[in-house]
Amino acid sequence: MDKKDAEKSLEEIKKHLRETEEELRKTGICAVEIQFLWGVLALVGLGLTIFFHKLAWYNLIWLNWGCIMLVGSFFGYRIAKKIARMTGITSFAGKLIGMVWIGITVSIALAMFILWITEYTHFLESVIALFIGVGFFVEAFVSWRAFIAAAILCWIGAVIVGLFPELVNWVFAFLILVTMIVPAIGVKIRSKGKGL
Amino acid sequence: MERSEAEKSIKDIKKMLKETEEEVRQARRNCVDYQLLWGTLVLVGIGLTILFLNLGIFTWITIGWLSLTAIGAFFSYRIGKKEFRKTGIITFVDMVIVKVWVSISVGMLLIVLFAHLSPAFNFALIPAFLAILVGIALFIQASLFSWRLLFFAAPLWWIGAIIMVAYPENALYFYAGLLILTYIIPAVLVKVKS
Repeated sequence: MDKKDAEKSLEEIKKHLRETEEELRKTGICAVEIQFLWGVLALVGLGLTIFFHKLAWYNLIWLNWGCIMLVGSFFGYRIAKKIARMTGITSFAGKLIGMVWIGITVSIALAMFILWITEYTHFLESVIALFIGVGFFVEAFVSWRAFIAAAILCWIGAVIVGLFPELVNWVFAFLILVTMIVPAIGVKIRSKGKGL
Repeated sequence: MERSEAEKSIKDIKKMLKETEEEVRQARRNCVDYQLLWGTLVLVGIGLTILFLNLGIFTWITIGWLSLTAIGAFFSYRIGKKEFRKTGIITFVDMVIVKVWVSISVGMLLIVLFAHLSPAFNFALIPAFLAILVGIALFIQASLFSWRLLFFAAPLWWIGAIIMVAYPENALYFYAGLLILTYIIPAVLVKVKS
């Protein structure tokens, strides 16, 4: 291989690396939009839960979360489809993040069902925080390292809620804001600043 | 671009794709060693738990699991080190798998912690929640390796979780059955094939 050939190959490798980085960034931003959506929906769900609790309409709490999961899944799918159309690719990282959150959503639904039939619903919030922590921890490695902090916060939150169930609403509102909504807004503002 | 140059580029791309495929295959093979190790250890753990439950020595259950976890961590480290010495690289897939199982282990520890700290928690629910967590890990692993057999494994663990709640007295036997069916047998099959 002569010098000119080597330089050309190096240039091509650099281009590939830049494209991969760009792909990962786009995947991260896409995930952030979905994260924002779920964060807002979870906050609304929490507000409605408190409201229904005060009115003693307990059956509506389950209905409320069922509707939120349906709405979130529908719009989450729409956002993912829009981004795939925009970028024209489904990256490996994007696919992995998708699989992680599908797994977590199925698990949360299953946990809800199990705790409901066994009448141990007071542990539901702890289990949800625990599962979301698992999702953040894996996602941190693929998209954004800061999600490790989100995972640890979720796990600490899960323990606090498990030990002090009366703090559940405050802990959950804090977790949703700090781990989902605020980082999503931060990334969105940063990406707009960079013209992405 | 000249024809010879284009052919060379295509050859390079094909080589890279083949190397990536080989990397993923290698990661799957490495995974199989961990699967066999942890599968066997958990089976031993379940056997010991059933024995200690029958003997009524409940403290030994925790000691047994802690000892098996320590043994598993030690040998996992040894397997990882051996593989690294052999190949000289840690691939992206390897790293993701490690992260997935680390996070699942934290989840499992927290479930056990809840059970011990909260007097209201039902111990019979522990195997079901552990099964849900194993289901998540296998689901991610299946998508990483595009391993069709594992895609069936995750739903089996999730359905198993419901069965464990319905029949808590047999939960540990279901857990052992799922472990053999979806964890140990696929690992042995890959090992034999490779």
